[in-house]
Amino acid sequence: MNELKKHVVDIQNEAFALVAKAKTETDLNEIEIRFLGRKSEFNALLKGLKDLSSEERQAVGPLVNAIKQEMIRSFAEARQKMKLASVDWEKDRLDVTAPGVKLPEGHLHILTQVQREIEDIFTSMGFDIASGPEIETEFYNFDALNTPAHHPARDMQDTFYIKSKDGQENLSLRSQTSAVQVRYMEQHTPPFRIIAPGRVFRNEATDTTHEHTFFQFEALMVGEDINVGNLKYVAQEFFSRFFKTEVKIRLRPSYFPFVEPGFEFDISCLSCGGEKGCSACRHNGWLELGGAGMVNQNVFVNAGYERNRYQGLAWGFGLERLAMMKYDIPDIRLFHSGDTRFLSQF
Amino acid sequence: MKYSYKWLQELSGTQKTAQELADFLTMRTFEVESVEEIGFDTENVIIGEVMELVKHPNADRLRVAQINVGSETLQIVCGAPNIEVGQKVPVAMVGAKLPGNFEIKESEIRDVTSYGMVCSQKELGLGGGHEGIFVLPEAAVSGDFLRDFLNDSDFLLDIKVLPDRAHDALSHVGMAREIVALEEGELDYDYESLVLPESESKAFTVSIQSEGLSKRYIGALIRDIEVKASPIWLQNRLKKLGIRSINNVVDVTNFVMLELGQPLHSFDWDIMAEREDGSKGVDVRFAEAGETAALLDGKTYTLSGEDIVIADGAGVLAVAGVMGGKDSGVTGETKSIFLEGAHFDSVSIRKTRTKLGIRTDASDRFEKDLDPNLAEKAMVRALELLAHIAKGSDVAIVDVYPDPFVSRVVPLPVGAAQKLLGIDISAEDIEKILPRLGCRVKRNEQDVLDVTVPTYRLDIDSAEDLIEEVGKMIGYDVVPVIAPKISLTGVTQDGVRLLQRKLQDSACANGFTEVLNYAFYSRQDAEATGMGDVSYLELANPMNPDQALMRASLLPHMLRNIRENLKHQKSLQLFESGNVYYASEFQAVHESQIFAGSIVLEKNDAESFFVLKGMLERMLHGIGIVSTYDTTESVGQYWHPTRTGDIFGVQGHDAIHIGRIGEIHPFVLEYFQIKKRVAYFELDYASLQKLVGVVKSFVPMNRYPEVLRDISIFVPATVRVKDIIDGINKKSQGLVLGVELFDQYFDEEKNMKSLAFHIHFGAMDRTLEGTEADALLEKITASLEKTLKVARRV
Repeated sequence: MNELKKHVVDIQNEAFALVAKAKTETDLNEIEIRFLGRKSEFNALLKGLKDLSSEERQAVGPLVNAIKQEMIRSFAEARQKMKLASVDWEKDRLDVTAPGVKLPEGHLHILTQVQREIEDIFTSMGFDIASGPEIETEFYNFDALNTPAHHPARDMQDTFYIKSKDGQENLSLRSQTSAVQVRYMEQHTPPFRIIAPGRVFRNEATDTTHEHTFFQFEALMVGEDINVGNLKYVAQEFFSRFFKTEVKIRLRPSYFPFVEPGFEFDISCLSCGGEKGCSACRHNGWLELGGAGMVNQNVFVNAGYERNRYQGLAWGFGLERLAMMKYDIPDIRLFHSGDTRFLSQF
Repeated sequence: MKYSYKWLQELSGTQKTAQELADFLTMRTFEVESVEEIGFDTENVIIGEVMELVKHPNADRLRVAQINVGSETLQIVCGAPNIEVGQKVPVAMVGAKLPGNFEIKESEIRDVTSYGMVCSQKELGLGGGHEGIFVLPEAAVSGDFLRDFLNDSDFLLDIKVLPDRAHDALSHVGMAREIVALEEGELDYDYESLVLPESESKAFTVSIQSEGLSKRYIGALIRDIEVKASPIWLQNRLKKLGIRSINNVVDVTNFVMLELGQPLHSFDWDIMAEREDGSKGVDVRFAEAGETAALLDGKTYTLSGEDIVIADGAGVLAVAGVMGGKDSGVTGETKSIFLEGAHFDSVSIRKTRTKLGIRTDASDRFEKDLDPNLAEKAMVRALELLAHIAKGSDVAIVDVYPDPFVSRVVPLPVGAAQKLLGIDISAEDIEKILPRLGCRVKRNEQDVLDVTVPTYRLDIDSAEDLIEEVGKMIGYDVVPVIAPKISLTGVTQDGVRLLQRKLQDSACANGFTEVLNYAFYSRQDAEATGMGDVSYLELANPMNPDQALMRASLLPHMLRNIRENLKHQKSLQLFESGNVYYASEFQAVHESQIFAGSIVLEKNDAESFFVLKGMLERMLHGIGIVSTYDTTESVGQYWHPTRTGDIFGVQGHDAIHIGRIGEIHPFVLEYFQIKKRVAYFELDYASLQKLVGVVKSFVPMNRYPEVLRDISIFVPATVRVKDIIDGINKKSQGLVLGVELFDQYFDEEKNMKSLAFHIHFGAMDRTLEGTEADALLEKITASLEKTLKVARRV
């Protein structure tokens, strides 16, 4: 019995030795036929197993089968090796450091990106997005906002006017997104909360921080008991999410005809966190961002609401300033430059 | 306005430094834009006593002085005629830097060494006009710094007062009142005691044409006045605040304006002409249309019937509240003056000054309205000062004030402040706070505080105005951050905004970069792009002529973007999503949103149309729109006449026009100096909007194999691909699943186009036999031969 076992192992060893020496696939085929072919000694051995006693079969059978499997595997391995060796891989080598195929690369304008970011933050807080025309009537741009004709507050911003034809209503390019306020109020009943992003125009000379065409955002929230504390909350929540850092809000008294009380609002400096002593905030710890306030009751009345029925908060700021702060952009005029060297950075 | 820190300090008693005060005001009430140190602050100018004076040995006009400056005695050469032994004088020591960056050095003056300079006021920057050296009072101590002796240094605070508070805060008393209210201090100014004497003069009359022009007019006639230079303190105070000293009378009017905020005006009484009836005085009236006025600025203005003037029997003395007349003012010759302290209608003043293009300190105040009671305060204060520094006698006063303006009572419901500000504040707190602002508070039975507001606070007339004041007095930093309590409501999506986002994203994914351009362009751009005859909306006040028209197309700016960017890159894909504007006979303003894109290829720019078209098809498909294209006849404007087509969106069996695609006309490109072909498309949001949002239904996939056949044909040059495909589809019997052009060229010899198509045959319910497809193909080809004159290519 042991003799038989030894014989099988000898066959295996012989086959392995030949496989190791084989040079071509033909050599391998011949060896395979010789050792595993129908007429091979091994096959004969396998066939002879059935003539053995069941005890003997149990003793030798598994070994013979295992050796057969091993030989099959060794032939496959040897073939694979030969196939690999047959290809000149070096000839096919790529320089992976060479550039990829140049495909045109698209970019959303940085202001579009910022606007979307703002819209998404506000909509996640349940604000609707409202819009209005860029060419606006005097009513919505001024009168409805408590700034009638010959009101000195009209001087606070220089407005572009459209040449009017006879008998036509005076039209201007809206100088603030607040123009959307009364338009929206006329169509809706509080409580509501909206933002109105959009393009506004001011007839003023341009420099690194001033543009005659820019984007603004207006946030308006009206209900029965909206208060100044809520204004602080909404602003703080928004700016903290936008700048991805905890931001504090500071309100300073100011005046805009459409709010009472009115504020300038500052946020704690993003570089030094409100601690004095950094150049970004000119060493006062705060960054001036925009105007805000509680909606003037006259605005509600102009929109057809009952006086003193509602309270509302409103605030607005320039998108460019926000983008400039967040992305370190030094000159506001770049936004409208159309220069791809700027646009493709974002 | 610029304020003197010292003056504010005198009035308010604040203990804060200038910078502290600036920060405090900024946080609590008015924004302080700058703090600037001014006044005499030169180091190394020391008080000295002239001990000895001898004639300069080599110069007749010079003298050599020995001056004791405390620790030593200096030899100084001096040319001033008024120097005398025993005088106390300012000495600029060697090393001192005088205004104008003039540095004092040791010098030889005609062989005599001079160790410094004895200075005049002018040389020290203390105001000019005085000849000779600045002789100091006896009390001055040799060796002391002149700076300490004069105690003249100050800070200018530039404080931004917004229009709502111009009526009271554009003055030192007004600003001091605000400081006092915030600091709970006490104003050192007896405002209430400034009251006109009862007696009414008959020496002249004042007539106001109608009540709307002026609520109050006070005139004062002062005889025997001594018009001369103002005392130094007055000159310095005005100078510090940027006002040139004229003479004591004019200076007093300016001083009172800075102090109280009320502009006053003085006329030369003797120049004023009698009226026709022999009476004398002033008439406050509207100008006659076309009436002219020669004003102080040396210009003559033509007035209209809307302008308020101050007139005498002969004509206009001044444009009320704006500027005085050239010849009616007070001069050195003036013996008697007529002083005006008045209220004028703010809207009229504003209209007049805007129309005349004149802006003065006076008009800035009058146009924002003033408390008519302030005129009285200012008049009394001015008379007081004039009596002191310009003498005068026989003062006659007329006060026309038919309808006195009295304090208003503004109701403030208890609890309203708490509700609006979001802080805990009781009625008792408010009853303590508001009196700091000069208000009187009385709680009535209905739990409302009746707040009596002083007339100098014109801005307070509603509960919110009072709450704002309360907020300021408390400081907004105490307001807590409070999450609003709101009902849960869903967010509604704006369809156009959503569409815009999708288009932008799709364009971006296809390699387009977004630009944002101005909403205006020039007439020249309009003409050059064939859009000269658009009914434009024009700006009445453009920044410059290049930006006078509201854009009716996104193209001109985009071409400029292309030209500029081609300077640093070879190919380009841009898009913009924005509004265009125009008028029509039906509507004064059309404002429509457009999505436009363009492409410039580096090579093979003749292909740019098809590259762009392919991208556009993909972009539109990406937002659920299947697009078709058709030739546009007589395109016009900036489009290439034979390389432009219309874009349609398929909706069921209809095709909705959504825009246009084509190359830009070469002449237009020439104007913009672009040397490559530019392909461009425009889509109209309003039309796209009709196509999106349709919910798609599932279409089952074809389970049976397709039969693919090719057809190669010659077609006349005028026959288009669309015509062939339409022709194939017409004969398809429902068995053509798709047609694809895979080859085309122009055969010059035959003068025909060669086209080759793959046709996918198939049936949805069975396996189509090859023979069936061949038979159908034959029918199709025969039909094309017949209807479109095509020839089979063999």
